[in-house]
Amino acid sequence: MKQTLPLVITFLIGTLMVAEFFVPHAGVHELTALLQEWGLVIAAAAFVLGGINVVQVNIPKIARRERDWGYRVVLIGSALAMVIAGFIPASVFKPETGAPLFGKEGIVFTFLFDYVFAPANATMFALLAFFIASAAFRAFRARNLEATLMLSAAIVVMVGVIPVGEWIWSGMPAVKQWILDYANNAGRRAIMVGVALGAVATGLRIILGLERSHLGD
Amino acid sequence: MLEKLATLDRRWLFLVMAIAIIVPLLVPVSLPFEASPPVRATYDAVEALRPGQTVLLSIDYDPAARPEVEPWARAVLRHLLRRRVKIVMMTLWDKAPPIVRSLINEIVLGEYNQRRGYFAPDQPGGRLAQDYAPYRYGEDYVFLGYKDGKEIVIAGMGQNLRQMFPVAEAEREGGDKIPVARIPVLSGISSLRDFALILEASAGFPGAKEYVQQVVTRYRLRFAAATTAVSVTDLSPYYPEQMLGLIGGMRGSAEYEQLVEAPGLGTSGLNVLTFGQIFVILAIVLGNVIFFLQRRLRPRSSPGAGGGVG
Repeated sequence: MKQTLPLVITFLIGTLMVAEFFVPHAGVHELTALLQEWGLVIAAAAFVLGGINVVQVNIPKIARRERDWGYRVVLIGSALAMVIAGFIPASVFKPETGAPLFGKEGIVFTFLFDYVFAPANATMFALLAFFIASAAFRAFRARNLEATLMLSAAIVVMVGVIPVGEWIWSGMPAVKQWILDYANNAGRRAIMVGVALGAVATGLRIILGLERSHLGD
Repeated sequence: MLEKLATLDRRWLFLVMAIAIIVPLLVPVSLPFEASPPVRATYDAVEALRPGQTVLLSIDYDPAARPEVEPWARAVLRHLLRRRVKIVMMTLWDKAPPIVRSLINEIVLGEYNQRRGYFAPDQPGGRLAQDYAPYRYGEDYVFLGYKDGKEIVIAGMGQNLRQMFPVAEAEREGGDKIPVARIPVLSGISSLRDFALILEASAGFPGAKEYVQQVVTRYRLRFAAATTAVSVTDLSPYYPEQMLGLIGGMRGSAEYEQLVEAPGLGTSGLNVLTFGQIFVILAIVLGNVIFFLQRRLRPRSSPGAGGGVG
């Protein structure tokens, strides 16, 4: 029963969701819409579950003073600060004029988002520029024909993207576009079609109960 | 000397990269550039909209992708306001609601409604809609808010938008959420098919690819998106069949800004990108020159190498 019931549910729901694409009946649409709503509820519940999981994983490690426990304190503290700032209703500490202190558009939450989270998030992404420079110097080598082709294409695309490319030669953007439209798209489409066929095959295997790894088998 | 260069401390590279980024910020240099066909196609699609038509603008990026994608989001929002179309905004990214609010506050309420900046009629290049009237929340634009569920939300909106977003955000913080049935801008809109155009600022998952896979092809929607430069190769197979336009990274944003005659963060960012990219290219070339020189010199200097010659 522990095995059969999930398989039956998977088969019924999987078949219904596929059938929705081919059966233009209002009842089928309503049923799939209902299932999609359930999906949203599960997605929302996953947030709560994620929060509980973060606490469950990190609090014991902080208590045991495990390696890097200080970072875990920062993690829990930051998460708590954002949750508290966002959850307190805007009606609390609301001045006569101007923005409220709390709430998800309140001064505290906005300050934390704009001046702590956003710069930290952007900094992590911006660091890539430095590592790319280092990698370009050390790792990007024309060791063989394939690497040389990739290197040449990369340089042409990079030059074609920046205005200097047009300044050097007016046809540079067109060459860049050609590489994207033909060389890149040919490869990408081949991969996409392969992935799509694989996804269809895997989907069918799951619906038909041939693939059971999601049940822990 | 060659050995020293080959083992160059990477902090020197970091320093040069920092200079390549900081100098163009301090000393702006602008080189002319032309809009590429995918960007122009998006511009033309917005330009073809008639006043009163409704457009969906999905803002799906976080602060990390802001420099690349937000210049386009700002430029296209200005363009939509100038076209006097109704705008429905939403997001599938949990970190995006404050970004959407800032776009609304700065561009819709700040620039347009108060006739400042790009829309100031007395400024050179001021671009005000001919039938100017302030944009009113709920009547001319609305922010549906954030909804988690990723592809499920996109697929659901293809069937029934109101089921996925039964309420919209309040105009001001602290206000009650508004049932979508009471929002005039959504009258006549029941699914994605009812939008004249769907635009998305997309920085990853869920984003433009999921829109194409879940709804664009199925319902034959008019869809265009701006993405980070790294995603362009992923999405370019969809242009022009599934996506009528594709704006790639900072360059694409700068091109769109040029088309709407509102140079902004994209154009200034393109200068930075130019210098950064030139340095990366030089680093590749220099790295390879050293590599080949070392390879050429190695057999002569080491007697054991060179396949037993000598």
